[in-house]
Amino acid sequence: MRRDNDFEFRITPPIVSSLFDDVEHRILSPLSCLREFDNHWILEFDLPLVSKKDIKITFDENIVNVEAKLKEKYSEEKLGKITKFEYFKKSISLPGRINSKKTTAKFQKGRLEIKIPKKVIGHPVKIN
Amino acid sequence: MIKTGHFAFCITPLFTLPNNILSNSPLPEEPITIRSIFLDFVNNTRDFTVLFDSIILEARVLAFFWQYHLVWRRVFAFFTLFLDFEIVEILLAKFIFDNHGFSFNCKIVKNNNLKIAKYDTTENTLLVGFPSNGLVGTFSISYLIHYLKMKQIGEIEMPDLPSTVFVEEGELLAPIRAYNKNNLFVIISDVPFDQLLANEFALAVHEFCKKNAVKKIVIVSGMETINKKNDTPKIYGLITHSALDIVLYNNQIPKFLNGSIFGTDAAIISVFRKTSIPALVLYAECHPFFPDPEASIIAIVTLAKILDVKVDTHDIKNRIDKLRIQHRNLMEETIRTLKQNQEKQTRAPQIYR
Repeated sequence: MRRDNDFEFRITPPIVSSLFDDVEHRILSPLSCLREFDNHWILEFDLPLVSKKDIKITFDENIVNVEAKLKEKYSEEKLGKITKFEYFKKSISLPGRINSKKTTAKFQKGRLEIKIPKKVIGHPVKIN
Repeated sequence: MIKTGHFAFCITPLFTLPNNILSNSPLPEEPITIRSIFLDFVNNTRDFTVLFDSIILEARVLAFFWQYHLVWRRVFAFFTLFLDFEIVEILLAKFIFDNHGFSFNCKIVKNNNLKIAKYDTTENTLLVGFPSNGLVGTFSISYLIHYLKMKQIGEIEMPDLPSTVFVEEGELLAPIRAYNKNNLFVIISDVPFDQLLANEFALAVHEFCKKNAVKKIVIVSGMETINKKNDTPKIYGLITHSALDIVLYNNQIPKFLNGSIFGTDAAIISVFRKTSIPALVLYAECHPFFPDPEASIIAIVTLAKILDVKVDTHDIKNRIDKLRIQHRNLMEETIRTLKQNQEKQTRAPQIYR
């Protein structure tokens, strides 16, 4: 359900599961969501059990990489085998050019929000 | 200040007080005028009449004026020198209404002639939870099952649901299960529903209600508030029958007034609004794409108040972070299903909404 007075945005939903935990390297894949606005993107990651100081954000052209160390090991049992995870890690490819220098981020209640301005390349067209 | 009332009055149309008046907050969140408050009341009412419990309502209306309008305080004090306390309140409320252009059919009747709608906690009540925004329903209902030590009494079978069985510590669990304790029933689903399954599920819930003499149902769900700035999530109520207005009023739950609903919530509402069993949907503000146990705690506390049971939420509070990690896959699956539902929905053009 949603309230109609919320402003409209576009969401890029995952078509197939984007959560691939790396058991071998003890890496969890965090949930993320991407919203597109007129001149920027908002990329959010759900990073519970993480401290702000342990988050690393890097850019590689239009790919955003987020890596974070967990405050404590997270154990999960799958098929009778207990795996202990220590990190969150995920890379998201944005569907457009980005201005990584003007990117800002904030971390609240275990949610990382990255605001990424779009890079506008082009020239105006004169209307006759 | 409020005395036991000997009188009650009848108001047509019904109005509901917004939460900011009912709560003890010192000031409303937004600057409001008397006219805007009553316009809200009138715009959101339907054609029915309700007798309010004695003088509580008008006393609260008066409390508002008492607090913000010195002139009303003086008028009130003056008339109570000559007239009965309750009658002054009613007359003053009538005067306020009349002066703001709203009809107020004030009828003073004796208490012994009144039939006041009271929420009955002894009636069979059904709680329904399923994966939706923020997994609020799943978290809150499963926590209540666990906390109240409810017993599983059966499973809900749906022919179109792909065969799914969960294994928990060697025990086989169906995806949709029914629980019971005393007069409280619960149906919980661990799988999200697409549009077809949502309708089937809603009909199955109704069938369950008929078989178990359920008198009302409460559904817990999430309302997306991705741009929310407030720290504490709020909860809103949506009812299918006016009989449950009293539940919202007694528990100070603001009504959900505008918006669009799709998916399983909409299917259940559509089925129950045509039946004699009233349904209340509790919508807790939550993040739509991430599991939100914090919003679920608000829902649990509200549910506990409605059901008049004591529930300690410390356990879920301590496990918030781990629950968020644990339920990532279910959250992703739910988003995918909700997205499909939303795309299939036929919506009126923006201009007509």
